[in-house]
Amino acid sequence: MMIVLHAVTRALPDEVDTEGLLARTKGAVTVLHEHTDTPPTPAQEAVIAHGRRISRLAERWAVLPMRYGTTVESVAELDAVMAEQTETWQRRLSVVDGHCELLVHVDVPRRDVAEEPATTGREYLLRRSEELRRHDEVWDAVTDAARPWSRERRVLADGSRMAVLVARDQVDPLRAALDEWAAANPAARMAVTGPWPPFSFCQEPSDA
Amino acid sequence: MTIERIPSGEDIALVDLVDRLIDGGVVVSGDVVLSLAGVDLVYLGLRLVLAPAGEVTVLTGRNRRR
Repeated sequence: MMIVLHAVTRALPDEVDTEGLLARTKGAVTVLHEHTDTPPTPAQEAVIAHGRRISRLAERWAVLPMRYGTTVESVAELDAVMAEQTETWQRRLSVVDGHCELLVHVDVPRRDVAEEPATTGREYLLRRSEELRRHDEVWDAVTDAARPWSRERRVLADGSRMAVLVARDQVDPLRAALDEWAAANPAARMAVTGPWPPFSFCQEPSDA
Repeated sequence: MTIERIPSGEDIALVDLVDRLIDGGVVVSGDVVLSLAGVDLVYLGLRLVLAPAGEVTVLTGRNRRR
């Protein structure tokens, strides 16, 4: 038997609907989980169904989604994790409360593909440096556009998306600001998805 | 087989959801490793590169952080 961890919330009262999940409450936090004999189902459909459940929970409470597939072996281990993480989780729950996540995709325009390839190492490095500079400039500009309406922002590791933590009542103004930036910068294609639960903001910024 | 195409908004959204679920969220133990086997969630700008047979492989380590 293993325990699959789904999400962390502030301490929930007894007998509240938790979308079929079990609730383990210790102090100020509750961990929503389920007991199972098999690991989480290895299929995209299962991941998406799980995500939709988390999204429904996040509409009701401040939620820190667990990374999909996180398991512990026993209730004792779960309690140990909760004892260790409660303070951190409380801080993050306060940050994400009333907020959701948007994901901003930006396709930074690349140099003209018809241009002759670099013939020297120096030329390659100079071009690469220029591409990185242009990439950073675009993300700095997008960050500036999003900053007035967002609490936190994180450019994701793939370098082509930025996660934005935004108050639910600021989603429309944020989208409008991003649309305005995109209209002024047509060479950089943009797409925005969400709102999502705060997947990218569950860890402290220094740990992200 | 690799499919490369300009995705619809719905495609992008679904890939974002799956990506954030397996690469975001609370990390309890560094030993939980997920890989979406066979599905390359690679963004080349706004072009998604997808391969079939998407399966999530959950590997749990022996030494869990307490």
